Amino acid sequence: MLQHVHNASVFQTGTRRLKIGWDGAHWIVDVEGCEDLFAGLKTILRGWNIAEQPVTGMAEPAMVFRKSGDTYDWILPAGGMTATNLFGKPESIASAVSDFHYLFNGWFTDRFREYFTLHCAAVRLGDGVVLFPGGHRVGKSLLTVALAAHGHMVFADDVVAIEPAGGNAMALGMLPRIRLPLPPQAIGVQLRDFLDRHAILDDVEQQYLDLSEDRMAEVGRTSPITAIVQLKRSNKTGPASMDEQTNGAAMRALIAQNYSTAMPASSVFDHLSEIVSGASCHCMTYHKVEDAVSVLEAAFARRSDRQTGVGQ
Amino acid sequence: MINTKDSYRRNRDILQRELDGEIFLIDDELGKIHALDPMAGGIWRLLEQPMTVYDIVATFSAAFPDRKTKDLRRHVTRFVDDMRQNNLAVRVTTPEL
Repeated sequence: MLQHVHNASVFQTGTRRLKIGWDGAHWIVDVEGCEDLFAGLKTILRGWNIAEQPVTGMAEPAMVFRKSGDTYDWILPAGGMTATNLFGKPESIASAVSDFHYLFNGWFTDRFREYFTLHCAAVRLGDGVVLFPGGHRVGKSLLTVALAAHGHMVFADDVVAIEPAGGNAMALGMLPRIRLPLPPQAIGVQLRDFLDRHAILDDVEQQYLDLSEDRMAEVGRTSPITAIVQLKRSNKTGPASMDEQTNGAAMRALIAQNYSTAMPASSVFDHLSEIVSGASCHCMTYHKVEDAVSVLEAAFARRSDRQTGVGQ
Repeated sequence: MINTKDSYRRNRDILQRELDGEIFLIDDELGKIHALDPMAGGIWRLLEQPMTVYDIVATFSAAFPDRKTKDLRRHVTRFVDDMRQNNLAVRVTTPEL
């Protein structure tokens, strides 16, 4: 006799499903025939509710990965976007995870429209978070990791959310990813050693860094924004220096890095204006990453937060 | 390209905000925020009332006598054209004048 069964589980051969949730919303990712990628996706998230789910027809995956020869192909079933028409098929696990990272940030921005998302690195220094607005190759991810190596808590190396009320920075709980190759001569031996010891996923173009709980803010953690620092990386050797910047210049930098499009432009401006007005605004030029860390610590960190060397 | 003898004024749907003396223009309809540099800010202030490019250049020439009129005309024309293309300024027709 046939039995009608609700919630029947249909495990497809070699397919595993991840449900990634926070604050009442979730994203479902299916991974077909690739155990190491399945593990890789989980490793870059901090504070998210992650659970393996049976593969059923009851829920539609937002993203499906398939191992295809030497590449990790993917598709977003809802919109039909594929790896090929975004960045091309990833050829490594790090690259596939990086694609997931990019799209997951996009999902957060779309799903949690009440939050701003800004293309900024953010690190807690002293009493609050310092924002580093994104720019082309200014080195914000590497600086973020260098600050973590000195014991400071990373909120974001690429995308940070801003709470709708109060304007606090909010972490999205994504591990930092630095671009490779590293700028020659611009980092010291101790930092290079820290990177080697904390690398978890890498290929020739990028490297994810695993950071301990006290140095990596989980999703949802908030902190007031106390400073905005625009970065300029110099190819010429020389000491790092930081100057004050006008609120207007900081505002321009934040406007250029705003990802949120669902909110009226006037509301975006008012929120960003509130952030800028409550923060000190600076511009820092640096060559060596460790020099930049020293300048930032001298300006913002409490004495008790500073470590004399690169930490564990 | 714009005609230097045509008159332009601000698009009245655009919101203006100032921060540390810098002018930002907000277009809620298109979802854009524009930051104006000092020269564009000066033009925006002048366009509170309808004005021709020719008259804007004359005003700038009087304010900056060291600048060549030819250069000012080129810059002002480009700025006004940018403003028009970005929905910030509109051409004024004769009845409105």
